[in-house]
Amino acid sequence: MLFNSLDFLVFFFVVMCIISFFKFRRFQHLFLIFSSLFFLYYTDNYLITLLIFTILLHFYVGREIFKSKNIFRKKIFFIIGIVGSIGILGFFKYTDFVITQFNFFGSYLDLGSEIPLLNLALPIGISFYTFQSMSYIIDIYRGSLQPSKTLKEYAVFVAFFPPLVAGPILRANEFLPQLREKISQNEISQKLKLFVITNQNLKFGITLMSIGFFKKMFFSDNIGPLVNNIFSNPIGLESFSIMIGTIAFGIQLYCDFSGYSDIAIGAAAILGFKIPLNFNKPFFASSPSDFWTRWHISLSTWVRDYLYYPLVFKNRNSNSLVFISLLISMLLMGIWHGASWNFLIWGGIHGLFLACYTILRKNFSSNSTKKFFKSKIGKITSILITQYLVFFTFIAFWMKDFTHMAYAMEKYVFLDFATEGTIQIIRDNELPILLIILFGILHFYSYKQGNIVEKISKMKIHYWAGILFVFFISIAMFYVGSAREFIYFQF
Amino acid sequence: MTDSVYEIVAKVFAISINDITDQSGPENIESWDSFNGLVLVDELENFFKIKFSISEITDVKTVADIKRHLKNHDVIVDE
Repeated sequence: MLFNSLDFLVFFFVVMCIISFFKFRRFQHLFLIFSSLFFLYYTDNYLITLLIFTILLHFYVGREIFKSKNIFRKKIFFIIGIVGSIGILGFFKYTDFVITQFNFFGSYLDLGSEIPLLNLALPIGISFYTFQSMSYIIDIYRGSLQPSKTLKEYAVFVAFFPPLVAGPILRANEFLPQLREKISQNEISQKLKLFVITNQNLKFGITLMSIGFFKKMFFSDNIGPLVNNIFSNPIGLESFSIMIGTIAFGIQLYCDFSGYSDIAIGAAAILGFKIPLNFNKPFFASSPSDFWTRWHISLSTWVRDYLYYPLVFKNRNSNSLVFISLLISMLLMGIWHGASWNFLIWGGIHGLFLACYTILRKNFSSNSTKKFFKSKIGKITSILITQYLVFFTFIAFWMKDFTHMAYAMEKYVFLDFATEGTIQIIRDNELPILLIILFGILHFYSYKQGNIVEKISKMKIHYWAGILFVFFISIAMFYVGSAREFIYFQF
Repeated sequence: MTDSVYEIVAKVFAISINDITDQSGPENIESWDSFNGLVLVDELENFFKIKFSISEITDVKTVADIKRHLKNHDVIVDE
């Protein structure tokens, strides 16, 4: 069920109505689980059984880890949980990739017969809910989280439909307390929360969802054809054409994924849940590490907390360990996106940028450089350099063909200053080019304004309705004719 | 001790001490990234002569969380 389809709007409207009409705590919680399971069943059919298995496994394992007094027993259950998560994810997502590599080396070494591919369907959302489940048991194992009291509570956490298929990846310590009534700022009662759809949440949620639809259906879907034109066969194209392609793809990807996140966070907000931001103006990041505090925040913080910190924690003063840990972390981030070499290359390049930046900063950071980068010109310089590097990596994210990737990267780095073909591309793609410029202006405006969603949702009702009307009129005028799938559905 | 915590946070993230509150964190301090996060841990550990655990580090979302964890290490921090 795509967010940008009539099916979802009808589904969400029905869920909202039932939640607001039937004000019985137990019923509301159970209804959230069943509506979430229905949402996934409608999207992914029988593969919903994997989600149910994951819920049961991690709920049981989490409880056993917490209960175990014996450290050995604790470890055994922890390993069962981690192996279970990685096993399911690895089997469905990476088996064919591994077989393909075996077959490639087999034919290279002339070993004879090939291993047949399994051609498994990739269960939608599996990368998101397995990472969510792993964080749950790791936190319990570390002693920083108490397990869910009931299976029902845990099932809402894992299966909650807005972020289920493409994130943000939730954390149990942020989500579970929201299922109980608050006594005060720091105290939570044992009583199940009664979900009440308030005007304030409704206005905020609708604003965020509208912005998400606007990003996806106005920007991403209309910029996509330009990206396909340039990237599907870049051989022979000029440097500036490749650059237009990378800029277009960066914006398409951002609008697609952050649009999905906005719709998910907005839908959750209407139902009374607070989910942290997943994107924060990434095209104004002023360093590689700043970029990862702004892009796919729920995944980057996951990798930081459960992989990078454990790797460097004891030896954080060792340059080589920091370098290798960052590289490993970013390679994982790359392969998380898909079983393909281009994602590994994408993660590897980000890892190199991040590792080099961190080592330089650690060893050669003087007061004068700090002062320069705090000045306006220093800030602009660092944003431009960072974005040049970030957009370079988008080539690897899109292109699976190595010849295409190498050509595009070479053209991006070594400019040929030819313009004839580029001018023609601009002439043939006036709408996407205009949308890129408009996106740049709006992104800058929202960077300068701070929390623009909050500001719009607090406007007087007629101004608020006017802005939303502009969003939907723009979507309707430039609608591409069919609901396009979100790029992150494939992950 | 609150002043000391604020001073360390201000020094690590190169911001004014007046801009820091208990609610300050990565969401509102731009320079609070994973690198500076670990520098902050080093500075706090050296100053207060304590050792944080990994779960304490990953749990820190705001300055208030730092103060809460310092309390667990018997460091007296003002409310």
